[in-house]
Amino acid sequence: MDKKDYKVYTLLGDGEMPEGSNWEAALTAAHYKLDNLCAIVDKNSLQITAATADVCNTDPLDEKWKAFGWAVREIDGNDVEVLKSTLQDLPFEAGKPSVVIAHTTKGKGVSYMENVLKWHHGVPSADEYELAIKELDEALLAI
Amino acid sequence: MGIAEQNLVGVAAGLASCGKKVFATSPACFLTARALEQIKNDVAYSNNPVNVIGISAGVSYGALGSTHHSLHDYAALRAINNITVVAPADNWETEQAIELAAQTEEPIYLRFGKKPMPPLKDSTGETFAFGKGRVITEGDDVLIIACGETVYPALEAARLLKEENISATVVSMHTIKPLDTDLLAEKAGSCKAILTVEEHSIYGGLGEACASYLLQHGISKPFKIMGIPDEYTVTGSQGEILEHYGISTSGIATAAKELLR
Repeated sequence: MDKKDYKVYTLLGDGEMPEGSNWEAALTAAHYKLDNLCAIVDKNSLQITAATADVCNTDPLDEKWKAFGWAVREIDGNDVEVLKSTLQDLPFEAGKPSVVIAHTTKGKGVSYMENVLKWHHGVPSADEYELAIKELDEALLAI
Repeated sequence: MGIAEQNLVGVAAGLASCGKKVFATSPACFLTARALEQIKNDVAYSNNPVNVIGISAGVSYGALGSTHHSLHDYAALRAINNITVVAPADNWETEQAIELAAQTEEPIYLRFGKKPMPPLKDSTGETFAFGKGRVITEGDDVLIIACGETVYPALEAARLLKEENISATVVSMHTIKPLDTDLLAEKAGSCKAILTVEEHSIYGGLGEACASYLLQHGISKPFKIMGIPDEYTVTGSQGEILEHYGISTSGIATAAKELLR
């Protein structure tokens, strides 16, 4: 509206993709050709009660976004370098809003948390917390 | 159904219209805000007997903040025709309410908290009905009307007041709508002051429902509504938030004493 030169990012979870208001917004963004808008879907395939595909399947997610008029890229969302370079390519297509479908592992980097449903909202015990921090620190040092 | 409250209530109404017994459950904050239109039109107006179940209501989600608090649901649903609004206070009331809801062919909203609640009293021989308040303890000085998780601290406040020779009637007004106006008029008539307590905005909930009835029926006593004021709610655990707003044993007892002064 003001033709200002900035980008807007919105982070979504794959668990909330069944929510109708997301798709209302997706339609509107494409209608108004908001190519300064970028949505990132954190697709870890797990939500609070079960696997997202078992609760309400939203696959194939890329085709849904494409059908709604968005330019789509799918990446390994746990690879920060790939994420950074992907975001440097915005907009993916002139005149279209962009969406990054970031395939991620819930609890990435913490051995006992990876892909375990409980850690959607689990609270680590003191020992579990120590172990998690140790593993993450070691991973950081290895970079 | 997934994270899709409007769809949940719409599908529930459709199933109910085909004769199924339906319980549509979701956190109260999302269910009664996002899906309010479906509750109003598909359930209440269309008279589809859906049991709309709001869980972790009030400030149960504590530190998750305003997005996850439901402090508007009594107000929103009270203003909608043809839906019963119920907030049980202990396990007995909860069990009774669910069983009764399953047998009742009309739109019902059941509001549950998250925290385990102790029994309010021995329920042997008691009967439960929507629209009939439950007298937990009786006294002459102050009438405390509460619902949901606030009944227990109200009862504890009554015990505290008793140590100072102040006697209180505590009513678990589990049905916010239709309100048990017979019980309200009877107990309000025989006390010196009236305190209402709810885990909801002070606007549009149990307190204003009671005040409206009493004022329009010529019953005037010192009166106070305890609830969450109209401000950005403080952040903390459920207990910390309620304590902050005086919805605690000592806070309720203090408010009762101030009313009686």
